[in-house]
Amino acid sequence: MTANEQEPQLNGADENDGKPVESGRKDKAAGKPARSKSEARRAWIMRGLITPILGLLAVTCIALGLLNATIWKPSREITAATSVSGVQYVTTDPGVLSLVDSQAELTVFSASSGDNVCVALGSGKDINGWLAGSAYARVTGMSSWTQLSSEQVKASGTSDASGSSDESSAVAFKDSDMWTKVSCGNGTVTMKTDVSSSSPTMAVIDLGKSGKADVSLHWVRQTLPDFAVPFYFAGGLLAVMAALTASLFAMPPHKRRKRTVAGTAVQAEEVKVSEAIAGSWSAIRPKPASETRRSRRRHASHRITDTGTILPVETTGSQPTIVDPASRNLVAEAADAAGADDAATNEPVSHEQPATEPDKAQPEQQTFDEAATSVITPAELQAYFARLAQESGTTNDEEAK
Amino acid sequence: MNRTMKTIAAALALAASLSLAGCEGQVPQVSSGTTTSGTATATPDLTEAQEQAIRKSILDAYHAAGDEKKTDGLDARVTGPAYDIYSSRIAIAKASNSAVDKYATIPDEIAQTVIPTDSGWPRTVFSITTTTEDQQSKRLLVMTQESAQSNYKLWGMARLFQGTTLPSFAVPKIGASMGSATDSGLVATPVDAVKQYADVLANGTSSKYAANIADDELRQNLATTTKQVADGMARNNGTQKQTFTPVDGAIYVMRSVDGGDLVVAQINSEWTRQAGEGRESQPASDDERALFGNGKSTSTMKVSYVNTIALYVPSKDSGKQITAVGADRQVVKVEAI
Repeated sequence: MTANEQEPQLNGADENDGKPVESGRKDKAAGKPARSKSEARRAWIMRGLITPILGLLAVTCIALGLLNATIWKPSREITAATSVSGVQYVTTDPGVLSLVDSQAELTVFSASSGDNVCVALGSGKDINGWLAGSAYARVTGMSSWTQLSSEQVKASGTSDASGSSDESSAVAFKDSDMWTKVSCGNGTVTMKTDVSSSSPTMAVIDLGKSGKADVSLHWVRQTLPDFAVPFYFAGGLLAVMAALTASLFAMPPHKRRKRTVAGTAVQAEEVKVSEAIAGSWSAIRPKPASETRRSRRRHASHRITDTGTILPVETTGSQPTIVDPASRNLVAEAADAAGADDAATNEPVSHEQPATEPDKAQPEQQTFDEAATSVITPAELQAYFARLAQESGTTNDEEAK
Repeated sequence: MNRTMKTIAAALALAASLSLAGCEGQVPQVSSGTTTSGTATATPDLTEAQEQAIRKSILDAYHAAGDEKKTDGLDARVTGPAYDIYSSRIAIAKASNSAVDKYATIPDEIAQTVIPTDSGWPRTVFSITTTTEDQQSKRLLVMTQESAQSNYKLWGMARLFQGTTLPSFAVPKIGASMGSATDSGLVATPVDAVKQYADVLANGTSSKYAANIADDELRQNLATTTKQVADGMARNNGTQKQTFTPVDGAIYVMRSVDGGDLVVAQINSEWTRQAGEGRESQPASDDERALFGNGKSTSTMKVSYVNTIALYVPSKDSGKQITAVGADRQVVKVEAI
C-alpha cells in the first residue's frame, strides 16, 4: 500500500519541477537520475553497513551457542556444602534434598572422627517431635551453586523423653521407628536419598554430641539447562535477516512494486478488457505483496527495456489503455472505456491532475464510474426497455381483448 | 617483549575467566510452600511399610519371649494389658511345662491397618491381623508410641468375636483420626461406654446399662463360667463376687468414617471366692491352678484378671447399641487371703 501512496507523491514532485507530464511512465523516466542516487545510497547502507552488523551478530550468537554447548556447558554434578557448629542435630528443610535433582547424596563429616554420626529421613512432624527442646541447625537451601545456606534455631517445646514417665523407653536415634531410612558411621556418613520435590521428607543428622560438622549435598543433574539452542536460534534469525538486508531490502521499494504494475499492464493489453472486466478489477485487484520473487525478476528485465526508450507502447496519446491496479486512476480508466462514446474529452492528462481542476474532474468521474461499473451499455439498456415496453404493451392488449 | 607478554597474560586471563564463568543457570530455591515444617499438612504418621516394619520388630520380640518363655526385654516392645496378659501366659506355660496359650498367637499378616494423621504424642496405630493358622479369629492390635523418642509398643491385643464386622476406617494412605476418651456425638463418650460395659460384665442382664449394650461372646462366656462357679460355691455354702474396674487412662480411641469410635480399653477384674465354713477355696481353672502353684489354700481366694475389650461406640443418631467386637481375658494373679 505504501508503494501506492508513494507513486502520486513522486508524480507531484515532478510536476512541481514544472516538467510536462503526459503519463506516470514518462514522469518516472524523467526523475531517474535523482532516484538512482538515493537507490545507490540505500543499497550501500543495507549491504555495506547493516548486513555486516547483522552477520557479525549472527556469528557471535552461534559462537556463544557453541561455547555454551561445550566449555560453558552447565556441569552435571553439583556439590554444595555448609559447615555447622555448636549443635547436636542438623536438619534439612523439606525440599532441600530434592533442590537440584530427586536423587541426592548427603554426606556428613564430623570434626571429631570418633563420634557416631547418623543420618535419618523422616517427616517434618516426626523430626520436630524428636528435636523438641534442643538446639539444631537448619539447612534452608542453596545460597550459591557450591554453598548451602543454614541457620541455627532452637526447637520449641520440651523434650518428650524427659517429661515421659518411662524415660527408660527412650530409644537411640538410629533405632527410632519414625525414620524411613537411617544410616550411621564413625565420623563420616553418606546417605543416598531419592525424594520427590513435593515430598515433606526431611533429613535429620545426629552428630552424637554437640559439635562441628560439614554437611554436603551432591546431586547429579538428570536434565541440564540448555543455553545453546536459544543462541543458535537467534544466530539463525540474524543470518536470515542479514541475507534479506543484502538482497531484498537493498533494492528500492518501487523496483519491487513496479514490476507488478508492468505485469498487469501486459495482461490487460493482451486480454483487451471490456468495460465489464474493467469495472470488476477494483474488487479483484491483485496485491503487489503476493507477487513471487521470480515474477519480479522477469518483470525487472522487462522493465529495463521499458524505461529505456520503448515508451510508445504505453502512451499512444488517445489510447492510454493502461490498467494499473497498483496506482490506479479510476477516472483515467473510465475515460479510456468511454473514449469511444465521449470523443470530446480527448485529454487523459487532465485526469492525472484532479487537484488542479477539481470542478471538471468531479462530474466526469461520476459518469465514468457508471460506465465503468455497468455491465450493459446505455444503448443496450435502451433497446431492452423498448422491447420490454413493446412486450408489455402486447400483453395488455391481449388482456383487453 | 614486555608488551607481548602483557597481551598474552591478558588473553589468558580473559580465556580463564570466560571458561570459569560457565553458566550454571539460576540457583534453585526451596519453594515457600514446602518450608513449613510439615505439620500443616495432615499426612499419616506412618507409611504402610513403616507399620509393617514396626509390627515385625514388635512380633519378633513377642515371639522371642514366647519361644524362650522369658519375659526379659519384652517390655521394650510390649506394654500395658498386652504385657500383663502375655507375661502371665508365659508364666503359666512355664509352670505347666506346656506351650504358650494358643490365644496368645498373633499372625504375621494383617488384613487392615488404621494409621492416624495426628501429630503430637502419644500416637496409636490399630492393625487387624488375618485369622490364625488354626482358624482362630482375627486379632486387633493396638500399638502405641508414648513419645517422640520412644518406639511403638504393642499395648493391647483383642481377639475379635466370630462374625463381628468392624466399622470402616480411612485407608492408610489418607490416614484416620485418633479419637479421645471424651469424644462427644456418640451414644456415650468412650470412657463412659467402657464404664457401662464394665457394669454389664459385673451385673449381667440386671445391669442398668444392659439395654445400651449388645450381647456378645465375652458376656455369654463370663455369665456361664460365673454361674458354674457360683453354683459350686453355693453347694459349699460359699459366696463369690466379681468386680470390674476400668483402668484410668488405659483407653485408645480411633474414629471410623461412619462417625463412630472404635475403643480399646483395659478393664481389671477381681474375683473373690469365699468357701463355706471349714472349707478351702481352690483355683477354678487350669490357668489359675498353674499360677497358684503350690500355694497354701485358705477359705478365701482372690483372682485377678486383666481384660482387654474392644468396643464399637456408634454415633448418637445411628440408633445402634454399643457393641463389643473383641476381647482378651487372662488371669494374672491368684492369691489366697
